[in-house]
Amino acid sequence: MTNLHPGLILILTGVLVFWLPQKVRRWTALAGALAALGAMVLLNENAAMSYRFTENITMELLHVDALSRAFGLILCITAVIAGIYSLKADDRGEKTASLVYAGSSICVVFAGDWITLICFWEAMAISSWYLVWCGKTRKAVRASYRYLVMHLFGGNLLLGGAMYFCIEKGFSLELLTGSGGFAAVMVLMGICINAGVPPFHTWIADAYPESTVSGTVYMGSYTTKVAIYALIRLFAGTQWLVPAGAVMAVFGACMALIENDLRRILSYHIVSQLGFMVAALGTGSIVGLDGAALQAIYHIMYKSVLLMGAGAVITATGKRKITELSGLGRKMPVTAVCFLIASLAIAGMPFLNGFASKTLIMASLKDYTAAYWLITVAGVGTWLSVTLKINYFVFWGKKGVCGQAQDSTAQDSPSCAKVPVNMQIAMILGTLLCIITGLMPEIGYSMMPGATMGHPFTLEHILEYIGLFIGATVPFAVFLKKMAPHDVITLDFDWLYRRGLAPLLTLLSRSVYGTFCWCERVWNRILAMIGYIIKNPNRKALAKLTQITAEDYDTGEEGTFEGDVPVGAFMQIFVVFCVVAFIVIIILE
Amino acid sequence: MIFFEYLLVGFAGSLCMIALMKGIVVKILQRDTNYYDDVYERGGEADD
Repeated sequence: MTNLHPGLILILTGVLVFWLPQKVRRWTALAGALAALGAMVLLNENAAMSYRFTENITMELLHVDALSRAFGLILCITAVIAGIYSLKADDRGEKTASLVYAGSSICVVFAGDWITLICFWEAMAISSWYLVWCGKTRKAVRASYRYLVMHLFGGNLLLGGAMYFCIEKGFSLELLTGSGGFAAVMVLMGICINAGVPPFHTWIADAYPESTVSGTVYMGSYTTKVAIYALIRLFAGTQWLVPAGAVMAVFGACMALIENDLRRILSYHIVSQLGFMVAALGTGSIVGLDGAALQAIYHIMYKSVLLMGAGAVITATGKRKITELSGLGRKMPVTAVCFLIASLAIAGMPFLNGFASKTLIMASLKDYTAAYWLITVAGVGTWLSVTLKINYFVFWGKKGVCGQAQDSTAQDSPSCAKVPVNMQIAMILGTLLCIITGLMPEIGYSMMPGATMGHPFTLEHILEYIGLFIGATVPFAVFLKKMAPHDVITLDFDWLYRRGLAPLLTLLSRSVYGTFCWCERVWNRILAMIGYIIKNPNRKALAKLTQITAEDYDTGEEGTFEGDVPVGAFMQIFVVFCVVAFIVIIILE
Repeated sequence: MIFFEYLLVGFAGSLCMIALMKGIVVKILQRDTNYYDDVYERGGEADD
């Protein structure tokens, strides 16, 4: 047994990887993930690690219990699988960011106090921002800054609330349910932003599809699930989360139904699945909490396979829209079969892992009739939008069928390169996990804090799901042409700030830039005056000064600053964050 | 009995969802793929 922190191993590996040459870098990154998994498996039950930050503040870096152990284990397993999937990715920055992101997420899970939680929460935001930015397209860079602003806003809300609790109640993390007050609301809002609770969900569908194929796999597995972990830890039993989660589940499934971009469909579907978890943890019952935690863990498994499958399609064809894809099942059979199994698992097909976790969630919602049926309908939406729609139109349907033939951008069958072996291995490993944990649900159940035991494979329960799926398939088959997506975009709540706030932000940006230029001109004028006085002490300096303009002294290229606005904006946010963090430390001292 | 109950729920839920999203919501929320670019060009963002 060991006391090594798996998250810190990943972070240190990430830092090391940045300085290593390309050939060593790939395997070192994977070895670091394997070492973290090894440390996680061998982690001592009473393991503890602390760091004395200041005289009064001690960071509890390693706080192990059943919940953190279960989450830590799946996050480490995902780091290994995603590491295999991204083995051939060469970008050193992306490799480092991936490992630091995974490590920070694990550090949040094992955090025993507010300071540790917030530090690694922010590290998670910054490293995941870089993963989006690594997409390096114009859209990716823009989406990455929207992502960063959203997450720093959430992080600051969390920080503000946490400050109050640190001062009033001490540094240790405690259940905040029912504590009320503005501080608890701030913490809850900060976590809800990361958990993608509408209307704060837009960053998921905005940012995830723009990252690299391997970056999306990391992103789909960490931020939102860590937020669910934080909600279970801090807000279990907050009753309004039940209806919020139910609405969230239906909303995500509905939006996935009309999307065209493969990864945007899966991103909306993350929102839907998070709704299942939020609703279950809102009940506060042991079954609900176990269900939410187990759903989060299993969701990491099947969603990572789905995102890896989508990434494999993009790698092989260079296309990401359903309208540009069809009949790939025979050309990339491994990807197609893995995707099919994972999509059945996410819908809750019996004998796959989604069935085991959804059984607990539905059992916990028996007393909440409206939420129960909304979640059931969301399950129907999952079946329609992921299991049927993607599998039919991308992999198994006939070439150029139905609506695709009507679309001018549709191709009968896109050219298809071979999917790299490492990607196929990663998908197979993820799929095997879905099957094994589905066939043996007791593995997952026994890992949960409440250790809820039960046997989900009753005939009645299996028939419920089979009936639901058959019933949902009939309208899909009848309205097959209607179900085909079209090459358009769908507006979401982000319209409010992408359209509504854009002029305001432009105005603010120009005001700040104008003020900055004015200050620069004044400063240059002062410098020119001082220089002139030093050089010409005997002349009538003041008279001459009236003729000196800032341009005499300004040798800078016009417009350079404007081109660097995004970096400037990022630096401003970073400086503000550092100042806030400094003030917090001073206050807490 | 349970089987048919859920069969009906699945059928009705699926039908309603398809009608709502594919019939009504798409007409309100869906735009041309250049929508945001067009909006920003009109809005005059600096790096456009």
